[in-house]
Amino acid sequence: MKSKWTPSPAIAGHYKIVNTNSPILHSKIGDVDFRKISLEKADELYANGTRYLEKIKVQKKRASS
Amino acid sequence: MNYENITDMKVAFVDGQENPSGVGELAYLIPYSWFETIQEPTASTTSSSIVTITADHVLKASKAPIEVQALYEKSGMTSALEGEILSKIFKTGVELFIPNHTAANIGTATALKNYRFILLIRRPDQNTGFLQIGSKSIAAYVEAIDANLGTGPTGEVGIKLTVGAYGKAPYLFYDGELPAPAPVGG
Repeated sequence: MKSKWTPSPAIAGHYKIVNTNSPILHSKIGDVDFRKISLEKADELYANGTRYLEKIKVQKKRASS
Repeated sequence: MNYENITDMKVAFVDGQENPSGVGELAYLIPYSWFETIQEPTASTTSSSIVTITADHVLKASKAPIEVQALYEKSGMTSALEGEILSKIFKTGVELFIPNHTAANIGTATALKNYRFILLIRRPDQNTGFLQIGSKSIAAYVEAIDANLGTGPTGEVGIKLTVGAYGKAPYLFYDGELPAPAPVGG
């Protein structure tokens, strides 16, 4: 089911929100709002082992020979 | 559990530490059957590890904690030891006073009396973590629901939900995340 809210643009391309359909999380680093979260806060949340953020792996382009 | 491995037992007053009375206005109830995983303290050699849960509780899909918004001035927590010498256990009670008589409040309170659960509360100045009443081994439950309309102009109107739980400690420190509502199908 698609969420009725939009994740913060600050984390677009960096993190995907998973395992929840709520925009609010009472996390180990305090209450966060996924609609407004900054990238720094998301990094901190991820470093604290949250199960609600998934890092998006950036695909490196191969240098053409 | 045996505490012989604990090496840092100490009881101290922390100078400058905020110490307000009462409980914060938001509490969360999570019925036992809604958990996918209930975490417990992982005892090491520190006294705090006896009562601290660092891993995250996980709920089943589509389940979310039940929020209880209580009035600060009329809500609180107490605990006491019960039992025989050297075999005592803590009994903790939490009173949550909700001032509004609505069908949703009465309906929720009516349903909650049939559940075993874990209760997560915060102190008024607490921003991270929760105090946990009830545990994986002994659940919390509703001991009383007092729904009063009061008498005359100054009577106390509201619903008082009394939750109780036995436990090895007055309460546990839950340092994990409050389980967030999980989407259906993952």
